[in-house]
Amino acid sequence: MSEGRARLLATVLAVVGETVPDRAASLTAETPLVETGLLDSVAIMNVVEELERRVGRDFPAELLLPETFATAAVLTDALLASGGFA
Amino acid sequence: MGITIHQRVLEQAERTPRAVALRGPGGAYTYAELAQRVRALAHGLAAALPPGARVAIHRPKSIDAIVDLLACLCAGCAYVPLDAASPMPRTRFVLEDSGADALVTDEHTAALWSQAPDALERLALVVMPDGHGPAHPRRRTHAALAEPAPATEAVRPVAAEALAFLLYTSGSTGTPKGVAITHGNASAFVEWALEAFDVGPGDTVAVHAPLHFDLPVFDLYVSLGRGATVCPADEATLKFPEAFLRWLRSERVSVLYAVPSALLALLKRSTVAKGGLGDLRLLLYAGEEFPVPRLRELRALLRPDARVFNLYGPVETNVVTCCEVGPAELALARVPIGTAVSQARLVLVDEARAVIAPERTGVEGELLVSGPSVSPGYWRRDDLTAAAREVVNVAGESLRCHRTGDFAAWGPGGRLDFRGRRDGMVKSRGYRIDLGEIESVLADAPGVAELAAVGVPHPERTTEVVAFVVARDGSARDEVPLLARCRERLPPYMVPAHVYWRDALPHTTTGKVDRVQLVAWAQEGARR
Repeated sequence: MSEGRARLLATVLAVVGETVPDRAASLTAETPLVETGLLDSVAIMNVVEELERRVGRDFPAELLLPETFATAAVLTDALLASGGFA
Repeated sequence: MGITIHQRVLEQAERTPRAVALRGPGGAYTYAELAQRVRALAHGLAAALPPGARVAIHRPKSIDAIVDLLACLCAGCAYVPLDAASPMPRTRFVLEDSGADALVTDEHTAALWSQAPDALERLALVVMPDGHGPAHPRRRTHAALAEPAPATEAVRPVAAEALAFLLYTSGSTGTPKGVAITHGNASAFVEWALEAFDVGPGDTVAVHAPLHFDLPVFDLYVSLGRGATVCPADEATLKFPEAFLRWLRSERVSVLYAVPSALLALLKRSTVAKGGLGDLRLLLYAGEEFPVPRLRELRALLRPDARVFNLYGPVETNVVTCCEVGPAELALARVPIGTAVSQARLVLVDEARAVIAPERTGVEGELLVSGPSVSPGYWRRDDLTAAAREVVNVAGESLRCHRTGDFAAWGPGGRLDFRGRRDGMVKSRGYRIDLGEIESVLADAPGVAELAAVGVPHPERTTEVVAFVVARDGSARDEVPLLARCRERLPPYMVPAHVYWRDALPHTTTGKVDRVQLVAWAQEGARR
């Protein structure tokens, strides 16, 4: 894993964990984020806004899809692949 | 009352049997299929239940859930849509408070009740197959529901005063309250909407809001009463603005009735600016104020002949004002909520309960509403019903009104301008939230000495709910158990986005919690 990916993944995990602290006790890179109801629609937007704040870039709108938010690892890879983020 | 809202749909099915009535993930029903399925379930319900029985519907929004709603009405029963996203204790409260005699659900949702099997003991239970299976239930607890129904079974007649549905909304005392909507109420709104909007064959109408909301009354009964195709959007799609955009485009939605929060998210958080929404020709919004600059942006993404309307009306009154948003409105600082619809009578009263005449523009007062679409009251809550009633004298005429709790002012041309509320109710993402309900959940939590929940203006979601909490001496300041407690008892939209711990809350000179100061604290954004 590249250093950049590891750093972004850590940021994603931290932001998800802080957004739903009561649900993130066993959060890993592979935990389903949306399917099981971990993130509801408000939490998803809070994660997006907090990621933007920490990374200092706009979250690419075309990535606001269920498949992008499957897990923290998938989200990290999608953000890296989009090029404009992180 | 003229024709009932469900009879109108059945008559449309006679006129356009082959047109698509409902389309959702995995399937579609023509008007003929819709009518056949509705009659089949209605026949079973009518054989098992007395007229006027309440039937709870607990399943995700889908074309089949819509069949269930219509079937209840055809059976002469009233439906109670249960929020599929709410935690079970709250859902159970609604089921029991409504005095439901039957529960219609699907196999997946039915499994949730295994936590509380005693709640279903005295109910007729109808478990439909998941997805779009056969029209007949797989399991049912009442023998009459097992009978295969003749396809032409007549519907049971209903009176205008008969209950059509109960819509539960947040209550200040810690539990939700059911708003009773009669057939006369629903029909008054639908008749107005049919006049006002030319929805019809060729239109694809989205069902954006959850079915326990009042917005789908338009989506379902106006559209299906006129031969349009109705497409319920599933909740997974609605969580993601880009997914919602793709869905709007792939379904070629031509009519959308949504809350401003959802439209703001679409503007800011999807790629709608590339390509716009060329199929949308009628956009209705309600429930919140839509910031005019954003509304201008959205208008520019619609086709030139598309029409946009701002509707207003709490669930207790149905829609009672309407304002078309044209170039003139887009030049105002705020779009008015408009003029009265559907024979509604609107009255503004000042603090002394004196009527504010429409000539006195700009003077704020509480908005009272009277008319055929106004609910007779809260279900089995005569205390709340009485508190929300007010009789006013307007030009010698005595009007029995519903107190909306909303403040407004008359503007030029008899148009009303919305001026917010003076109590603990806020709108967040179009959901009506009584902050008292959140506070009552947190007040009993261990370690909490004092607390307050406030609605904080948010650029994307209109309002975000946060809570400020003071810990008892020596108690840990941990937000995790408090959030978990909220999630166990409240629907997701009522769970505070943040819990802030403070050593003390600010108070006004009269000793009340200073909510203005709390909102300012939240806007400073300091987490802890």
